[in-house]
Amino acid sequence: MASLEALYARYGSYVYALALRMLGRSDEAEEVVQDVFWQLWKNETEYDPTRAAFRTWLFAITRSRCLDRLRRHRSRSDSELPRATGLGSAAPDPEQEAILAERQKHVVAAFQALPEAQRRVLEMGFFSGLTHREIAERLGEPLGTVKSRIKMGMDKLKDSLRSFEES
Amino acid sequence: MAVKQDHEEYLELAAVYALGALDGEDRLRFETHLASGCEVCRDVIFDSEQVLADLALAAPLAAPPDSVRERLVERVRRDSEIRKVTGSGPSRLWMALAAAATLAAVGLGLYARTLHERAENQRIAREALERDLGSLTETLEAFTAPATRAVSLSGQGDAQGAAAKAFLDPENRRLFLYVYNLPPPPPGRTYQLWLIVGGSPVSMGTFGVEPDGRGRLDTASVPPFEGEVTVAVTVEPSGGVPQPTGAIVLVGS
Repeated sequence: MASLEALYARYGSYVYALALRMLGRSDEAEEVVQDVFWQLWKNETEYDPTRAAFRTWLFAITRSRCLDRLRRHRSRSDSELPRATGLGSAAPDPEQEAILAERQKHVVAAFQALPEAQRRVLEMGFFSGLTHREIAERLGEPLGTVKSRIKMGMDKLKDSLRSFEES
Repeated sequence: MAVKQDHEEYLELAAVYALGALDGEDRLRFETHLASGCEVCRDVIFDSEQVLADLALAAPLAAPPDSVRERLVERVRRDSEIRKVTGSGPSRLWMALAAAATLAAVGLGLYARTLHERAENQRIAREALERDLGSLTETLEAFTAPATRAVSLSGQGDAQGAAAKAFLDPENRRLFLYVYNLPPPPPGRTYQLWLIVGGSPVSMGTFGVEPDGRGRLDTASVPPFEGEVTVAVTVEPSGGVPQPTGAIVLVGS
């Protein structure tokens, strides 16, 4: 129980933020947080610590839960994004929290630095769970353009995050 | 030059694939390319997945209400009490998770920056892709086996525009169903696949469809059969039923 509480204290806000950004509804985001941490407790999802960083795995299952919900009912407007409401619970390990917060700042800056067109297609694919064909339809752009923008945006983010890791 | 241009396109597809946004013919073409063993595309997927793991951090930071944590703690507390009563301890996986959390607390953040972890992550991703490749190869082998039968299903009633292909591999008792343009089932209902041999329907399982009308089912429970076989999909109550009760939306033999 103490370990679960520690994990919740460290990652709960990030899981909630991702769910809120993807689903756009606080009640659904809260349910996703409950689902994800309950799954951890009940061991309903395989996690092997030797195979992936915990953060990578946790965000992957959070996104998966959100995509399940998005597919069940696509009723959210893309333009109604939630606003940040501040940091979460107190961190039990200030150094770890600082590292994660530093990374978060860098990711946000790198993402915002992308050209609008590239950021848009990545947002639609990652946060809204749309396929490349759906993105092309919604933007009224050729499929090839959407694919190129995803690739270019991903490459730029990759370069930016690599420079962060090497700093 | 043409080969190089072709592969440039695969690199684009690899990024879209890692994003989880690749579908349709592009997806099929790219997975076939991956199955040919392209190491370059595998590396692109791996690198992209690392970037995407960080992209989750780009969501505007927000704290869940305290009530979420309180409900979770209460739920876990009750579960712990049940475990005490039933004598079951925490799962091995949960202990592994707790161990991982401890590791993280010791210094995973700094360790994550080392080349060692990168190499390890590369190995892990490669193993995952090799498993995927094995599964894909298994599927392709089933499709091309001499005894495999392909059945085209056509839409019925309200699902006139739908279509599906079923591949039956009797030797390995496998059945692969690919559905297209099928509207989502009504609330509280699901689609159920049936194999009808000698007039008797046998359930092959239930499945849902994506918003674009695509669905897929893969089962290894095909009963032994000879002669003509009919494949049908009906609309049934969620969870499925032992015998078909609802309208047929797809059928073929």
